[in-house]
Amino acid sequence: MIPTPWFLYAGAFLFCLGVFMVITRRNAIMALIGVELILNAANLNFVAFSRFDSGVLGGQMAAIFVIVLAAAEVAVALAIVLTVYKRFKTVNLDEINTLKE
Amino acid sequence: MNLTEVVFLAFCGALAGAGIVLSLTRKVIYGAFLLFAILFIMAALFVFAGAEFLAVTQIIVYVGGILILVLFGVMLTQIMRDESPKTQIMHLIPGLLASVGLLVALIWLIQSIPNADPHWARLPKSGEVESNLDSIGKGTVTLFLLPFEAISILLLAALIGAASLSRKSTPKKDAS
Repeated sequence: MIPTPWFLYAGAFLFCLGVFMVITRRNAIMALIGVELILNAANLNFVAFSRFDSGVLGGQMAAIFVIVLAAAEVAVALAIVLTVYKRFKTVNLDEINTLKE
Repeated sequence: MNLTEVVFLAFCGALAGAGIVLSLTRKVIYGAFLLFAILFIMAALFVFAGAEFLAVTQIIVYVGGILILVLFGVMLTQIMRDESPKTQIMHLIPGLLASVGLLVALIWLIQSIPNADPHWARLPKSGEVESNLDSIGKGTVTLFLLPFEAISILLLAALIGAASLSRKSTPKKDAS
């Protein structure tokens, strides 16, 4: 059996990569990809601990709900990105700033 | 170090390589395809953790649904002009500080977990072992019924919201 900390290290690495992409990326689609990385890291953590939860599989159920939430979030986020692109003609996050004075 | 652990480490190495290239690439289409590779490697890691139904669900929903949406987004928002390559990453120093600091904190936290069998573990009885699909099916309609219904409503709301956001706005003709 693979020791649990190995799964947790992989999840932590993916999480920090996702955080890095959300902070430093200028393109809105790249920031969305970073959010997907974060959600996948959380899924890996859930599934790693659900190995000890036979019969109930709470971790895998939580991971299924996270996948469904990610699908809904990507649909709405891409609709927003396309609307913003029609209005501003760009998806660079630091050029979409007409709300501030 | 048996073969299972070696293959697991190989998958983790591929994950790390794809992730590092993803965080440094300049083109959005490369990012979408690297996400494709990362999602497949995540499905392999799910199989290592004994969650084979979740691995197949990940491939069907994430790769076959979410990644296609991301590719559509990439296709519809790319402007065909020359972009200067040095303006692709902003806030590099705060980003590096935040992510590397978080990684150090998480690694320190994980290595301080005592190496014992968890006393709360619910290990399978040595008789019949239910398959993953059976447990998930039963759990969805018994213990996890409320999240299941709530997430159905959320999906409905998200679908209506996304469809109404991306509707073509028809110009209204004034009757004055």
